[in-house]
Amino acid sequence: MALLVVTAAAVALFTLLSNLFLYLVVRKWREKRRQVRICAYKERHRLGLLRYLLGEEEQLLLPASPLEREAMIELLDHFAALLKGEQVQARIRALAEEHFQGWLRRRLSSRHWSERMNALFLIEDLRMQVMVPEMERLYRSDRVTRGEEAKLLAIFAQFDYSPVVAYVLEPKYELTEFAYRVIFGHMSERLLRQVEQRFDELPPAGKCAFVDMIGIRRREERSFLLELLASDELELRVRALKAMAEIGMKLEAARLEQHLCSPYWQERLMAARLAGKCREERLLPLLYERLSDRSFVVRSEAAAAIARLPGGRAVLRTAARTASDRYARDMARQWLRGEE
Amino acid sequence: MDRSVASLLDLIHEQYERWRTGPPLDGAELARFFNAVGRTAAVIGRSDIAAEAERLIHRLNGQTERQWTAEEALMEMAPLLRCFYEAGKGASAIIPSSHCQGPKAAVLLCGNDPLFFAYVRVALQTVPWRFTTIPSLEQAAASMFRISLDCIIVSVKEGEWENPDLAVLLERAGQRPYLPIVIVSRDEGKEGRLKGYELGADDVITISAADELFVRVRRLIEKKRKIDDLVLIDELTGVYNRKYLPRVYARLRSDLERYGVPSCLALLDLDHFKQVNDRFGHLAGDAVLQKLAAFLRQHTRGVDTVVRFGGEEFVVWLAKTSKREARAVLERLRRQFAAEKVEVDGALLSCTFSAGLVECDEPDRPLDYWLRLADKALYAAKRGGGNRIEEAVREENGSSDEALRQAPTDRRRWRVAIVDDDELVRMMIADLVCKLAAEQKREADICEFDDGLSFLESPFYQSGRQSVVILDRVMPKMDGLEVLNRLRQERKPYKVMMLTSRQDERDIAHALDRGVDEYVTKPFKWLELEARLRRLLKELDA
Repeated sequence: MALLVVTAAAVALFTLLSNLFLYLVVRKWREKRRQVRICAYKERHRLGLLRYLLGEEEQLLLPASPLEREAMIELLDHFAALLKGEQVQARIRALAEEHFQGWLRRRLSSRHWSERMNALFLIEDLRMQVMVPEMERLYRSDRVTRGEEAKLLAIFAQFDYSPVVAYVLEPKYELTEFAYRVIFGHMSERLLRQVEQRFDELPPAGKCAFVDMIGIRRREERSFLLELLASDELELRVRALKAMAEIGMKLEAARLEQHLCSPYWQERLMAARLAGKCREERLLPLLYERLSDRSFVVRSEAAAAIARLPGGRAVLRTAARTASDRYARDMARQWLRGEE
Repeated sequence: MDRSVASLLDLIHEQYERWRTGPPLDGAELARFFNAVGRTAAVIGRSDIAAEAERLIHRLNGQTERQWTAEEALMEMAPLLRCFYEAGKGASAIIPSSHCQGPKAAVLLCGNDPLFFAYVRVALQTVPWRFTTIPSLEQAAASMFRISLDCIIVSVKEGEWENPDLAVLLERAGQRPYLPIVIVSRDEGKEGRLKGYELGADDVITISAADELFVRVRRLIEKKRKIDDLVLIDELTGVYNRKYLPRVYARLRSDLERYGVPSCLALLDLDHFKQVNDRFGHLAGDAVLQKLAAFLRQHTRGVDTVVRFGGEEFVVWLAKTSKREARAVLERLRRQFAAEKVEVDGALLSCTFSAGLVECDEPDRPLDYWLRLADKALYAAKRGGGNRIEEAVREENGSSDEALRQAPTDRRRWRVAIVDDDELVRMMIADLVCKLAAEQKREADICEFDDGLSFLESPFYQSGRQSVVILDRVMPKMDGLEVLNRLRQERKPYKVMMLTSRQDERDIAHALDRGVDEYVTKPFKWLELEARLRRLLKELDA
């Protein structure tokens, strides 16, 4: 009896497994055939599409089946990455908006995360502004995930879609600093100003990314940065100093001194970096003190800053010989050697 | 020259020496000095000098703040010096107004007489002569072979006739094919003049005849030009120069006509000579050239001729020699020379040469014809990697050689390689090349490769014909830069366009540094890509 049960189970398992295997084989085979047909289509039509996009030909053979449509949109996406210039981009966008809107809309409301995400990438690459209402619907839906949210907001920022400001201040899921950077990196100056007015409402990660972006995009936000220096949060002060160093904003010696003597090495480091950009001789004694800082990076940055200031090399030479602190002497020597 | 005037000149010279060794002087000091000169001149009865000094002081008043170097002060007093050298005994200006021009020339001024040389430089400003001043006679003797010169003017003071450096200088100058030497002396005596001629000077001019200097020097320079035209020896290497080639050919042609014996012409070129110059300096390069010339002379027969054709190219013309024999001789020379060492500053260099060989067996052909054939063969030898001998290829029907005949038709086709892992990019660019070719009514051979390695192994790459290579910067297997390095190392005659999605300025500079002809970033601006590609393809025709 037991043997019978075991045999039956084995047979059942075997049947199940072989069916599964067969199913997978067939699926793989169909997928491969699909890919081959897509490739063949792409090869046939790429030249025609290129000429159409370049405006050399006005006639374009449109895709007749779902498969061909997929091949066509892949081609279009690839061309969008290879060609720049307003005319070409406009033609790509017009083509996509005219023929692929319905298809993309269906994809955006798909049950599968991957299909929705791929649709978002396509919308971004082809710059299909038409799709904004659909994306808005997706953003408001309950289905939206953390990854989609970040992507959606980045696309909204690229398309200069105003509500993105409110979304960024109060995101559905907490956004990472990286996500914020991407979003702010895409935003127009107009949107960035709107965010700046409501800076205090941003979550901490957003604040940090926003201050960083001032330095990265070389925005001239001098008074805003000065206000930040008075902040209670160390991280914001540090990033404000860094941004100031990047945009080359000068700070008077008295205020710099305050940061150069901060109890936090991060702040002293950035203050020393900023001092190097200010090129004022009055800063030399302050930086000289920092040569004997507890932290190696601060000492190094201070030496670099001194070397940049007028008359700085002479100071370094003196320090290398006469400084009472051994670390300061070492650091000065290192810099002198590095420059020779 | 008047004794008192001469001593005043000495005074100025002494002052100049003091200024030269001291710090820059101010206008007031210079004015004081001119004042002193003016007063002395008035005392010795030279009112013209005094008046000129007065004028100079007046000019200085405008610029009291200015600091003067000794050299500037000297140039400032040039009008004063002019009075000294020209106005005595009613002498005329140095350049007669009727002869304001002369031949271009490089003139070396040597001797310790800065005042006279300053005067000459200023007075002869309008003449197209380039002056070099070397105060020390010894240094002048040492550097004479390094600079190309048309005349030397030596200033000799009283009592300097016995200076051994002077004798060395004149002797050295005598070793050159012909280099005129003019001695300028304050010594009015006949004895000094005779001594000058005895040492080998071509002319001795006394200061009081300074106004004749230009005419006399110009005459000598013109004479040197004529002699240069007659000279058939290359100065650096001591072998014949190319002017001698027609005579050699005339002689060998008559041999061929009369006895039917052919000769062989070989065009030699040192391999990688530019690198020797760049790495070890031009003196080392000269040493290598001298070595090769001496080696060729030593290892060829008396009836053969060695000629420096120009730069690092030599012609060896072997009389009464067939192609087979010539090849054997040249192979021997090539092997032996590769084993020779040239010593430069203690380092031992060894060099190789390549040669193109042609048998001159048709007396009706002009000299140019043979040189062109030999040059083609030499080019083939270089393309084959150097250090080898190639024979010129000629078609039997005799109209002209194959290479010469094929070149124009071959040039009608553009050869383009597209190396990129992105299929779509290859397609786009191939299409563009076809379009440009159709526009110019050309045909294009386009080869596509999806990675660097397959390109380097392809027959396209190995053929090494003039082509355009479009190279992606980032590829699997072998990076675009690496491919570029390879083809530049092997000196392939390719124009390279690099495609990249990196926009970093340093990256671009780096690639250009490595020898990229064009650099295009992705995504492409289509019209820009088209324009750049068109330019590159056109360069293939050049």
